[in-house]
Amino acid sequence: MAHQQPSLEDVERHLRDFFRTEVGARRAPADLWTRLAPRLEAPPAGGWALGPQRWLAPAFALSLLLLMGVSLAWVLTASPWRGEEAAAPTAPPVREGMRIQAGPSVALPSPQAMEGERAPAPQAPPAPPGALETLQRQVIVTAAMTLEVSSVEEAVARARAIAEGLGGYVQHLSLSGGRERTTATVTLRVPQDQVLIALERLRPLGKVLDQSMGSQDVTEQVIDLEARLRSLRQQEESLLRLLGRAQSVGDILAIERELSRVRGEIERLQGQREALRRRVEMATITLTLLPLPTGSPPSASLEVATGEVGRRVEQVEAMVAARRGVVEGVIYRVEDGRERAEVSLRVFRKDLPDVLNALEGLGKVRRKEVQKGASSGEAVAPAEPDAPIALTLVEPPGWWTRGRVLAIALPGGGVLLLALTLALLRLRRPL
Amino acid sequence: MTEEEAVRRCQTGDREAFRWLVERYQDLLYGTAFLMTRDEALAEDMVQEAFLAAWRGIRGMDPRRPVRPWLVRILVNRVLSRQRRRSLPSVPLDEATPLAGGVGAEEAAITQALRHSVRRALLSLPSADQHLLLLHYYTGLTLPEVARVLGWREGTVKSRLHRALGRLRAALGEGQGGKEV
Repeated sequence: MAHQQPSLEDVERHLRDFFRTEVGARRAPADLWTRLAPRLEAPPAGGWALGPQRWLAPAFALSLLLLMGVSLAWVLTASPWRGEEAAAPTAPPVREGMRIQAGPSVALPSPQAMEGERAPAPQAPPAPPGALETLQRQVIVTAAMTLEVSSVEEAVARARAIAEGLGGYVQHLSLSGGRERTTATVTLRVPQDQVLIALERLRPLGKVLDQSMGSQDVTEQVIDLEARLRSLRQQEESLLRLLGRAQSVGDILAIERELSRVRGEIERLQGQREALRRRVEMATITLTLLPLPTGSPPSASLEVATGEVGRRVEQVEAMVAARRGVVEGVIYRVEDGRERAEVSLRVFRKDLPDVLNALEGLGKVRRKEVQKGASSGEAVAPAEPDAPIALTLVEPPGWWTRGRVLAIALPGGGVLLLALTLALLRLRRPL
Repeated sequence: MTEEEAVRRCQTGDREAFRWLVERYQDLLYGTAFLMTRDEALAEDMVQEAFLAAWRGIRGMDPRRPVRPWLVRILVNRVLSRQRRRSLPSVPLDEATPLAGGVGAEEAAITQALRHSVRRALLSLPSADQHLLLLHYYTGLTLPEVARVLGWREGTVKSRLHRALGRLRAALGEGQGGKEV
């Protein structure tokens, strides 16, 4: 009579049978599909609208690309290692800086009206406001530079090449002094927006003794000239009309005399205006080239990128001492997180090439300028080391600069985020 | 056509492939829905809704994964959420439900009395356990699949299944014992 428990297998079998029996002959309606089909929305084509996971990944990829692009651009433009090799001077904003757009108070006839200056003057007083155009500030830029060069003739030739390379020309050149002591004054004209580049390129021709730059705003003068020209042309017109009506020879002569005076004045003012325009268009650089004083030693300026700046300075000191040179001073600085040492030293001029070679061997040369000494007539070996070298040692940009950290961290973080999101989506996706 | 092919074709918008899937699974889903709701009309609605949802979501489906648990999960989620929404207790095995009309071949194998005791034993279980047994023994899902459909951990599924079977066995032992005496 003991209650006999069925085995687990029996229970499972009973369960299966039970469920099957319960469902029995029940089947889904035969027309389920026919009723379902019209309710199916249009084939889920063009996937983007379906399921968030469909567009999430591409969206992520897109933003990732953007992110990488932005960080790359940032790295290339703002990071400390930009353009170390080629620091070509870019066009300075001279025009923006000097030819400021005039405020509403300065208004002149449009350039077209100015061009057609020989045409009869307009009868109507100043053109209607619509035809008025604000005039750019008219500014004349002048610069001057005095250089000590090892060869004046060579420097003149190079200055001319520089000016011509920038679309300018040599306006005036005068040489003076004897063969050994020739000095030159060169007046260069370069387009106004090239003036800073020109100065930048002229500077390495020699040792800059002085340099200046100035500007003169001639906007008022131009306006004044324009106004006077307008009024003279009106006078000319009236005189011509009078001439047509003149009866007596005396009148005609008087009118013609007056007419020629007015025309002379017009031409003079036009000439002035044209000259002003040219001076505004082309800046003037006055370059004075002097020979190096006799017996002046050669000099050099060198910048070398190298690690372990401190140790390198010690090496330099040892090397200079070995050649009986002197280290006059060392200035350590940290710039952009990079150590810098500025070393001024003096060596005997005969040692200069060797020393420079050795210094170049310290690392990667970033900049090198060598000034030849003046050829002195008497070959007297100086008693003291007198050839100066300005050496700058700079730590190369560290690998972990801000830019690189960002350039790696941003896309890396993006990828991580993407992976995480995809993992989450996978988890949430129905079986 | 394999299921994987069918799913891939559905993902390109092929209705015929979807029809193939529907016809393959409609009875299973219907039976499951019926056992959960004990309401033929409601079961049919649920099955239709489940298929509609499946069509809408098929692009998010990985074709390499089995279709059955995916469809069952959609269906069960619908049924359960509907029951929750209506705050209706799940009535999987309502005694008042008329028994299956037809007398199947299997019917002979199980006596009326045994069926009655299975029903009673099942009714004494929590409804979650009833769903578990239903999905495993009727719908034919593996235990990991059941776990995913019900949102449980696999360990929980196993232990609850074990406990439920033990209780059923005890209940059936009583019933059968009584009868066999």
